[in-house]
Amino acid sequence: MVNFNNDNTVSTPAANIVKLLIIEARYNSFLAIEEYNNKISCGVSFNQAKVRARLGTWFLEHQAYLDRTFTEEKDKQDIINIKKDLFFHKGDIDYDRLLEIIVYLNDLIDKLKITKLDTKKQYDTTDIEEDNKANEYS
Amino acid sequence: MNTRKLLYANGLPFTDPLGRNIDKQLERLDNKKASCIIIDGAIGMGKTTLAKLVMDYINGKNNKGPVLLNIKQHPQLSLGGKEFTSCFRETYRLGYKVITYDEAGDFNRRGAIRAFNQMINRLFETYRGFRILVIICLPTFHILDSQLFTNEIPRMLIHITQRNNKYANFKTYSLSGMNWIRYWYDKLPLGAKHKCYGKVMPNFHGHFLNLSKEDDKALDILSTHGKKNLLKKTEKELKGLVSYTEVAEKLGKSVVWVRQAVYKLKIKHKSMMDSRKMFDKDIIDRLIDYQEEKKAEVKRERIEVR
Repeated sequence: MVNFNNDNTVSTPAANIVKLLIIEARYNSFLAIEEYNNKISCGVSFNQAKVRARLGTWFLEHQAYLDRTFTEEKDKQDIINIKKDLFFHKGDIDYDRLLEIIVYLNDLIDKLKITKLDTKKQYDTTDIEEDNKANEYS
Repeated sequence: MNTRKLLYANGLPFTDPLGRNIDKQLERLDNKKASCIIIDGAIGMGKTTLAKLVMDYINGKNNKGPVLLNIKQHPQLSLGGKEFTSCFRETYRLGYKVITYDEAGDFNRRGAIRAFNQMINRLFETYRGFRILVIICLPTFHILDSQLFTNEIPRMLIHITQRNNKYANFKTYSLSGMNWIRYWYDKLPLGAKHKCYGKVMPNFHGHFLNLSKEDDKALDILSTHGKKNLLKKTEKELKGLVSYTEVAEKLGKSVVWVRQAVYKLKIKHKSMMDSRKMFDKDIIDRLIDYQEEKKAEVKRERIEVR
C-alpha cells in the first residue's frame, strides 16, 4: 500500500504513513488468519507460522506506543506475554490465545481511532436544538 | 355521537417531540436569542391550525388563555404583512410570548416577497430583545431570504404533508435540514422541486389534531375575513374603481365638493362595496373638466363685473 519509491510518500507526514502501515499489517494478518481458518476447518494440518509472522509485524508497528502508554504492571505483563507468544514460542500456540492477541491489537487501533467507524457524535436527533448544535449552528 | 378527538394521550393536540422542541425554543428566547419556527405546506394543509395549536400550548405555559380569533382583536395572529407590526406591538403589550405571521395570500402581490423579507430581517434585528417567538406560515419556505438562514434565525421547519378532517401529518427539520432542502431545491429540475423534502431525512415525524368545531369555525371566519379584504382590494384594482375619498385625495378637494359635483354632473356609481359607492376611474377626468369649467366661469363673471 505504501510506496516508498514514490515522491508523494516523502512529502506525507510520517504519522499518516505509519497509520497506513498499520492498516496494511492488519489487512495482511486477516488474510493469513482467513487462510489458516479455512485450512483447519477443512481438516488440513496447517501451521501458524504465517499468521504469527503477520501478527508480529502488526504488533511491532505499535510496540513503541505500547511501551510508552501502558505503564501499569498488568498491562506491561500483557505486552510481554504477547511478545513471547508471537516471537519466542516454539510450535503452534493455542487457538484461543491467537484470537485474544488479534482482539487486543484490534481494540488498540480502535482506541487510536485508526479504524474507529463510529466517530460521529451521538445525540438525540429528535431534539432540533441538539441537531442544530451538532451541526455547528449557534 | 360524532365528536372530535382534541388531545392525544400525552395531553397535547400534537405528538410528543414537538412540545419538547417548542420548550427548547422558549429556552432560547429566555437566553435573548432570536428564534423562529416556519410552518410550510400546500394551501389548505392546516398551517394556521397548527400555528394556533402551538400558540395555545405556549400561552398555556405562560398562564395565558387561548389565542383570540375575533375579527376585531386577534393580536397573536397576523393575517398579512400590513398588520404584522401592529400585532407584534399588541402581543408584547399583552405579555404574550408568541405571534404568528400568516401570509394569507400576501405573496400574490408583486414585490410582496421582497417586502416580506425586508420586514422579517428588520423584525429580528430590532425586536430580538422582546423575547417573542415568531411562527411564520408559508406555502413554501424557499421564498425566504438567504440572509435569514445566514443569521441562523429559523430554527425549525414543520412541513405539513397530509391532512384529513381529523388530523394532519408533518415532518420536522432542523436548520441543517432546511439548508439541505434549499440545496436540493436549487439542484432539482423545475417539475421535481417539491421532491426536495424527500431528499432530506426529517428529525422527526408527527401528527396534530384538528381544532374544536367552535375554534375551527372562528378561524375560518377570521381567515376568510382577511382574504375577503384582499379579494375586495384585488377587485377594486382590476376594475379600476375609486371611492369618494380617493377622488377627493387625487383632486385635492374636499369629499363634500366631490359629492356635490357628482350630484350636479349626475354621474352614477358603478358598484357598492361595504356600503360605499364606487366609481369608474373616468370620474377623475370628468371632475377635472368640471373644475376647469367652473374656474373659467368665475373668470368670465369677474370680467363682466369689471
